Amino acid sequence: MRVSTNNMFYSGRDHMNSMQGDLVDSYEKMSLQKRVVKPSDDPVAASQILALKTRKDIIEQYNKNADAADTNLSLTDNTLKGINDALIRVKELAIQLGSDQYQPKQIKSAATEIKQLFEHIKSLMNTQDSSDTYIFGGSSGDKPAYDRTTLLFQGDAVRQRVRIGDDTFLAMNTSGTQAFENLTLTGVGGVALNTINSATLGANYPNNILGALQYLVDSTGNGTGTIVNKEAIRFSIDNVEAAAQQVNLAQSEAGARQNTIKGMKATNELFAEFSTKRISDLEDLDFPKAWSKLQQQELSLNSSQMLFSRIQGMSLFNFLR
Amino acid sequence: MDLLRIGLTGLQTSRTNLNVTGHNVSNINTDGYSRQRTEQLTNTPLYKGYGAKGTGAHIQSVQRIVDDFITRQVRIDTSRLHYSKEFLQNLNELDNLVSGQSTSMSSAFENFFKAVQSATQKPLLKSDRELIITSAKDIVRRFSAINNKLNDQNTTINDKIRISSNKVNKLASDIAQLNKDIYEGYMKGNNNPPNDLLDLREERLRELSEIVDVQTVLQDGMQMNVTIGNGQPIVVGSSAYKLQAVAGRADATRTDINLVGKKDTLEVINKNITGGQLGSLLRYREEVLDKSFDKLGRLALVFANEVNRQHARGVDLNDQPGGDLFKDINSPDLMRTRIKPVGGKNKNAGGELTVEITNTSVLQASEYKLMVQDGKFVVRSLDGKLLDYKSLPNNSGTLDFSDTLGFRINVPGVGMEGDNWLVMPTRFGTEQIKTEISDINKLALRGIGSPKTNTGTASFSYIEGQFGPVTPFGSQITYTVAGGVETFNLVDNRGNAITPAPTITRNGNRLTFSGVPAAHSFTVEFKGVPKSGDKWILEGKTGQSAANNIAAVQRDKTINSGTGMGSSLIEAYAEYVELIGNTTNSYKVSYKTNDSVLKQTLKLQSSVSGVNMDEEAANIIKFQQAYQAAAQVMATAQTIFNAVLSIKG
Repeated sequence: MRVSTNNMFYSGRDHMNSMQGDLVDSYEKMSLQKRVVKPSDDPVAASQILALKTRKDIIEQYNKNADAADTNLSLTDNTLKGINDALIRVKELAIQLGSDQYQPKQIKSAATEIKQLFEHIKSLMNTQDSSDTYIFGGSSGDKPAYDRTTLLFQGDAVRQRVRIGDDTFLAMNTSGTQAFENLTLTGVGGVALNTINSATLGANYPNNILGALQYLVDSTGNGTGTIVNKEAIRFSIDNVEAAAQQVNLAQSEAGARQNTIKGMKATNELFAEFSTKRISDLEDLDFPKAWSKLQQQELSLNSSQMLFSRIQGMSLFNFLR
Repeated sequence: MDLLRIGLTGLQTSRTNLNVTGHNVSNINTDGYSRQRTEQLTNTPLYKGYGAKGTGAHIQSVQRIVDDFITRQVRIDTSRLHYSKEFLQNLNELDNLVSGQSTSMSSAFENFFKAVQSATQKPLLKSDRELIITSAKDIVRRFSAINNKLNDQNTTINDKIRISSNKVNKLASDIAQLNKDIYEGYMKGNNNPPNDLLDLREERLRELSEIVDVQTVLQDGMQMNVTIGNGQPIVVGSSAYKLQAVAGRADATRTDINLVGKKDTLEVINKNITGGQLGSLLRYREEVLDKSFDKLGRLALVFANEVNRQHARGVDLNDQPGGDLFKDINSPDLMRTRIKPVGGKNKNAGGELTVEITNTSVLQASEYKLMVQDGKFVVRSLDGKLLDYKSLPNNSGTLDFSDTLGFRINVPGVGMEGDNWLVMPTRFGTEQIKTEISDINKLALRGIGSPKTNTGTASFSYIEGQFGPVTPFGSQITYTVAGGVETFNLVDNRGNAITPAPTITRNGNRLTFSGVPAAHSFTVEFKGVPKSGDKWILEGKTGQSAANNIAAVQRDKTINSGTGMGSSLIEAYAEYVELIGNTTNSYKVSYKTNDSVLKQTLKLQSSVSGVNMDEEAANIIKFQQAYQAAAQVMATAQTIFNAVLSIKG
């Protein structure tokens, strides 16, 4: 075939151009260490990567939620344990006070200790978390869960739920309603406690742990040990026992939720790991393969350059002198 | 004397041959040049007794070596290459844009929903609330960055259309002039071809084929009539038509191409322009750019609308129902932008039409034509397919296409037979999304929560509400069934009756409470089935059930759920990315193919018409030797003559 001079020039030039284009592409991918830099590099993989990254992000957010819930529940668990311990001590003291062998001095010190434990439990029930939210207040955690004078619950029964799995919500709080309220309490003569008027409160005793304790404290002369109503103390022992049981129940329920979190987190992490691997499979560069391709391209460019200069040097005019 | 004359003809033909060879060598780098050859013939012989006696040679004509089929193929392949080249260039910009970490919408959406989820952990934490607002602003910023980029591309396309139209005009008038010159050239050259002018005209046609598809018809063997696109005449003989790039008729931001007729009439010929750079620009604008505006616009609209819807069902820290977190997608100023009059008798007398988006689950990323036909308002797709129609008494009221197209059109008593409008529900979504809230206290993250003890599946949310200074938050909605009678009530956080007792009105799944305890009035709605003894609590300030509902928008199938299986926001974005990737990829392939096809054709053309230096060098030697030989013939003639003269008597 007849070949024009420009043709020889252009085909050499174009070939070198396209080689250089391929090389730049290879350099870019090698330097970013990615196989898919732009969607057009592999459209299906690009959209899968996007979906997987989103999925992974969502799962990781579930785990962050789970961690936050876990922290909350640990605080709840510890606080409930503290309250339970205090209640057990109150019960011991009440049993001692209820017995007939106690000396006035012992009575006084036991009554004082009960009063102190009462205050301690009050404080625990108004525990705040790191962001100053009252943990037993339900969705009204911005104000104290219990009014320290009226002993009434200020919060609500809302479960604050966070998502820890696609279809799994987990309550990260225990409301005072569940842990401390709605107890069946009785006073002297088997009368419901919330129908008995408290001189200290200026109102009926509330149906909660604090009501039970206030009744006990009142029956020891408000912590002074001067008047001791043994009959009321005996009823209080049962009341405190009931309160301790409810707290105990709430504590173990919180523990159960922490177990759920552990299980869910393990599942989530497994998926996150799988996604990471899958993303890497789709997106990351196969280095040895890319390297040998690069070398091949460089070699090819080199040889075209050599050929070009050879062919361009050949002309009949060189011989016409 | 014969020999001398014969020698002379040899000298002359060899000289002309050398001249033509020199012309070839000189024009080796001239674009569009075809090598030339002489057509050399013997002179008319003299007839003698022994027969014909040769009288030397002469040059009949100088011819270009061309193959008209190849020339035409070059034009076709050039158009194809420039079509795919322009398309690819524009696509590459989008390809880079949608994949960039800082411009990708998917990571912006993720960050927003992450922030909302974090706020469910600690709803009062200021930093988390701030993060919701900054990430919402980031979403707006990214949509606006994409919008700017798309707008830039549109502006560039408009510029390119204008420049290309001007180029077409220049080339067309050049070709018309060349037609005239060529005609004259034939006349002057005794009907021999004016080679270099022919080359020039072919080169201009090739240049024209870079811009648009070109077809040619040779008239009387000399002048070339040219049509572009699918048969639009641009050069007829020695006169040329003109194109004009003007602001679009339906949409001023989209440049139209007009053909200036003989009496300065204007006609939009966008549809007739195919192939080449210009055809590519028009097609890209329609198929990719405007689709991108629509697809991403829909994403912005649906996102803003869904988040607003959930946010409105919450209550903020100022005890107010959640306001718009993003600008209401049906604000009057936005509804007006979605429809524009295109033509007809009664452009917009009597007020403007507005488009209200009412059903995002069927809303398509499309644009429509609305026209008055036979007294009815008819909606068609841009390519003319009938989609829906409604009649409207007095042309005043609402055309409700909510179920089929996802929007309503409000018509204020306008529209005459033949009027038509362009409806663009989603075109401006990326541009119009804005955040409305920057005060963290106005984030409505609390709603209506439930205690552990509920056994039914009902969940409640606010529909609307007004809350006075003594708030009802913390109160419980209770539900009891006794003797088949359902009773809803509102009691305080400890279960005690509220005085004065609120008035409760039930309407289906909606309950309205008023006078709670005073100056309150709010409506709630429930989904699911309540069981007797269940309670729901109006959440206090650390409530976060509304935040959970906003976070759920991330995974909800909010797009196209009314017409198919539906996609979440991020899935829809991934589908768009895949579409751009796929299209870019296929144009990469077609660009490469067209490039090598054109190179092949050019090689073929060059092998026929191109100059080869070695060949010309050989020709120089050949014609030089012929010249020398002819000179020798003349010398011989002189020697013979001298021999005769030297004979002295």
